[in-house]
Amino acid sequence: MSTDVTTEESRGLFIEVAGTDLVFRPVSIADRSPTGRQILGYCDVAPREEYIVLQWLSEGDVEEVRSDETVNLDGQTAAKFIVSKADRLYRFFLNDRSLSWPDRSISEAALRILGKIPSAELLYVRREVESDRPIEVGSSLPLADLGVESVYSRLAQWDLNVQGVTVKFDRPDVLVRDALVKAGFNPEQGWIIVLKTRDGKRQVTIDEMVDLRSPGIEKLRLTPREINNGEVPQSRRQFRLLPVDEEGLTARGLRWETFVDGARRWLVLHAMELPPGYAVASTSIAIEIPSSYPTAELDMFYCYPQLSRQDGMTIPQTQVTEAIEGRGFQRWSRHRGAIAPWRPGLDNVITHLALVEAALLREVEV
Amino acid sequence: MKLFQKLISWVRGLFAERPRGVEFIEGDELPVHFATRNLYVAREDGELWSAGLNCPCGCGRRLEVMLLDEVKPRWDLSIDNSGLPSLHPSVWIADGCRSHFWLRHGEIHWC
Repeated sequence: MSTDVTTEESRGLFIEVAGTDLVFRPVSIADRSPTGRQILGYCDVAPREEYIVLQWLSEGDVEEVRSDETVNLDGQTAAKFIVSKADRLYRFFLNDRSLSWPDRSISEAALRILGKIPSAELLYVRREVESDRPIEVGSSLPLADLGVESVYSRLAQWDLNVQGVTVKFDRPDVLVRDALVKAGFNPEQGWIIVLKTRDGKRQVTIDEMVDLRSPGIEKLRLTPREINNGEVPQSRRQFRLLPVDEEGLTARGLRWETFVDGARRWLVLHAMELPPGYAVASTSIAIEIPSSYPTAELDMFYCYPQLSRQDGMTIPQTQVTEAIEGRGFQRWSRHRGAIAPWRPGLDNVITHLALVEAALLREVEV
Repeated sequence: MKLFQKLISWVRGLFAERPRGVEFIEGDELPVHFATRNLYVAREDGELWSAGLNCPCGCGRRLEVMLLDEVKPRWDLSIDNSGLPSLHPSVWIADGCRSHFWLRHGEIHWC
């Protein structure tokens, strides 16, 4: 690696020299105004006429030093030179600095060193007709093509098309809700959201993260969720759940309804498939939604028809029957306890459903 | 008599709704406005994305239902030999006019 040889005594007596790998090493010199030919002599390369000397100036440009040209090293700290076997030079621009390079191509790593470009920024080659082409990490840029290449860097940026509106992000993980807001869509309006990528498509919810790293521009396609599928005309919605709940339940393809019985508010999920081991294959699951939900926690759940194990073993803490609209639901006294306490703002019907599914699985696990 | 019956059927024909046809739109989206009373279908690379029409109740609302396999809720579109579309299941609008109808062979059947 490069060594800074800038102490008072050694100033002017050393230069730093590297090949196209830009690994600099100190080379001692006898003269503060060497010619290109003398620099080649200090570097001990032969035959000298086959080599080219370039100076990497402190402003960032890289210029050729011809064999009879003198470089004045007075006042310069550790002047940097690139010495390489070459019979011609290739010119290009890097962030508007003019550079000469002794090879037909230059690596992405060398571009970063020469341009002092941090890894958070991406490199691009300007293109006239098509869109500018990114220079991938670890690749190299050919310089022998016609014309002078122009390379620039900018902070990494990911594009997402939200129903025809292109929004830009400086990170590749994006919350669907944020994307909608940024594109000017009201996320609370209720949307069917389809994420479309080059590899395919899938329905996503408003609180899902999408990954924009894969090639091509991803698209979020929106359709208003205002039309019910006539297959489920009996589903009642007597009170609203959180948007995340309604999105999540619908995205899972569940048939669900909300209603008030007496003074109690119930969410009932129909035709919930059960893991093997129960006497029935599916059941309805009721969850009581307290009036102060989501501040107040969801607790326990209720099954109808009542569940029993195929092997006849009893299921603990399921002996109480709760009448909901006249039907006897079996109460599963499963509580969150100290290990998984209710987290207001984080927990909801969907996270509670995960506990329900775990509780149902636990009883029949081998 | 025969002439009279012909006249009646001609008058009936004037007032009866013509069935709705299908217009395919290339791409994953439907136009913002539907120019005719036909059913519009967004089709990309042979895959059906969604179908839309102006609400048949006359409220002027633009309706769109999803046809993609990956999405819920979704509908099935079929087109008969005469090129007339059917949607399954029924279309039921949750708010506003709350129209609820079936589209069968290009005709609206109210629920």
